[in-house]
Amino acid sequence: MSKKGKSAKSSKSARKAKAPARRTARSLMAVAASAKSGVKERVASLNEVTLAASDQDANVTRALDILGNDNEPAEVRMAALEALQTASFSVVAFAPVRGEYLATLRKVATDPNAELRESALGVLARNKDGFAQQKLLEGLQDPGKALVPTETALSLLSFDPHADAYNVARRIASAPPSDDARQEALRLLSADATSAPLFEKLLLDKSEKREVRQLSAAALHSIAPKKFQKRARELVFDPSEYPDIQATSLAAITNFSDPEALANDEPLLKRVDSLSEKSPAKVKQVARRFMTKFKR
Amino acid sequence: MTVDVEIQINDSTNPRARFLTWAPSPCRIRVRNPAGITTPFVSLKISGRSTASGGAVQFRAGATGAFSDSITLTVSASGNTAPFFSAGKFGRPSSSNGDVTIEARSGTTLVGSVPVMVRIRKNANTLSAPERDRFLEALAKLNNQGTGRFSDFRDMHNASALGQAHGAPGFLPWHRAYLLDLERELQAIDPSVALPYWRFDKAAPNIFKPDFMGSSDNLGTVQFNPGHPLTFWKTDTVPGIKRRPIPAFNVNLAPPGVIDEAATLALGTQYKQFRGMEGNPHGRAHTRFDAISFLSDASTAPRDPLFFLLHCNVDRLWAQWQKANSRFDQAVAAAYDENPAFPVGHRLADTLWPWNGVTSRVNPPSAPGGTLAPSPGVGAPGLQPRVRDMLDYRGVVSAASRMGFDYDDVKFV
Repeated sequence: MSKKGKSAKSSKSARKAKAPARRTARSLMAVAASAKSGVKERVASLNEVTLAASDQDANVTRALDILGNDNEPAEVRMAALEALQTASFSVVAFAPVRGEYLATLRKVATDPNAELRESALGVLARNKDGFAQQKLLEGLQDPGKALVPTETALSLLSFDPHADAYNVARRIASAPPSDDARQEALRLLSADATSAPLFEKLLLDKSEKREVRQLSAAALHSIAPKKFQKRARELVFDPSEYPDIQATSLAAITNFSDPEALANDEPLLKRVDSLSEKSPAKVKQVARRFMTKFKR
Repeated sequence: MTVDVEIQINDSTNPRARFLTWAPSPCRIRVRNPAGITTPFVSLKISGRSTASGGAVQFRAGATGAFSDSITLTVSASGNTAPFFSAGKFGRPSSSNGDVTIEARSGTTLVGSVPVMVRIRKNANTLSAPERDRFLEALAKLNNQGTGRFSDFRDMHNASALGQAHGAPGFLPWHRAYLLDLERELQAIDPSVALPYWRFDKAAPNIFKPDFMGSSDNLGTVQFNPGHPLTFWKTDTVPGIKRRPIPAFNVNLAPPGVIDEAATLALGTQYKQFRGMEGNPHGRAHTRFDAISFLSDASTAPRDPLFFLLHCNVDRLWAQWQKANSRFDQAVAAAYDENPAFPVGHRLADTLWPWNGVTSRVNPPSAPGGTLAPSPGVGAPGLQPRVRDMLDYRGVVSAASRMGFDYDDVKFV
């Protein structure tokens, strides 16, 4: 064998060694479904498997069986859920098993394992599933029935905000069990037009947490933009206002106000000009962006 | 009065057409004012002048042949145009509009110039601060707190529309058209913007910072720096973005379980094999975010702007694969997975929804957004693209198919 031949052969085998053969979905699912395999090995197989094509329906069914079987270890079921959720992106190919997937998730939504419950409810809530919405609302009305923490339930209900959810969110916002729950209740209400006075009050309350005021700024801007623009202008002029709130207000004015009106608003131009020279860094940055856009 | 020449980029005098990629752009030059020329023809040297960190351009006189830093053309003094081709020099994209100038000289005298931009889609993790901020501002403006044109893009990818875009071979062409439409809308706001990509097989910590795509708090609410343009992002009537990495995904590292670029390109040399990437890395990248995250479900994913960076990388991987395997020609069987049994919208000759405006039993009930946004510099893929129109994006098979985008790491030749 020539030297050239030898090196060609060795580089070929080196390449082979570098790239291990990919295991088929079938062989991966055989490991994942086998109780004889260790938990780590089963999870690794589910993390590697691609359940995308319709000719792999048997593998999808196996993954569904694992997910729905509460005798299986939670880690393995969680990995099965992730594999199925990944497969669900191939919408057309996944369509034949979608109904069964959602039905399995409804079952898992009341599972004793908290992570599985939350993940199942998450998928269902994003798909505006009535069963999941009902369960989440029931849990907020009666903590004894709660399947997930209050803030998580509110967060999941915000995928399809509606009147029933607003009523519960309003109640929680006024008597929250935790800061997180209050924040999520307010976030849910930020789609509710009747909550504008609440957000206006929170925005102007300097004793409120900065996160709540920021959220209130976005919410008020969303449901009552004219009212927010007026308040934002006032906040920019307020020398005792916090820099975060001033920067947020100024960004809203810069990006969403009527450019012609801004260019003729002499007092505002003068104020922002001075902020662009002397103010905390975060305000200065936004003020300079404003001046670049509107200076004459 | 001295001689004056006009340089046309992409065969146009429109300043909005003065954008180049790695693919050759047709250009023209003509004498606008022949003052001082005593001969029927004048010899003009065309070259590029770049700012310190600006893009770089190269030229050739004809449709084929090697590019060089400058060319000399003999141009009629009577005002007739002379053609030439220009392209960005690979590895030297622009960072701002007009950071490279194409100049024409007669002898040593400058007789004409135009500012241009080598506008290229770049890795979001290494974007400069001005590039990042221009992209974010344009995106925020397109969303306009949920009232802007962005709502069409959200509606193109909602639960009723997903069959058009997923789970069949049209997945990649559909998303290429979708991204291009969005990018052109962003460019109508700020022409210097190109979509950046999230290289999800590598660590990309800069993307997940509060000055860019935002950082996630413990509730999964994405937090931005005060004054950030996406502070007022709103979709489906709800302000804000929900995104929380799964516990195993540290955003300072590459997400676990997502196959890397080499493994993606090794899925196979046939499109039928390669389109398996819809599962991993594409689907896996989406599900590296948990149950409360917009990104982890196809029906809610576009509510998070990170979606577009993720899909830009999916498209880049397709571009890499096309380049590696010469798969730009729809007539080559391996370039696509053609089968008459596939659903409408997934066969080469099918027009793509929603740009075709078709609503019917097999299409979603509405077609949001109208036709695909046109470009001032290129004609492809047309207002109502077909699946097959999306393959030859850089005009390898037919120069007229060039769509005016390119990736920083995908060479033309």
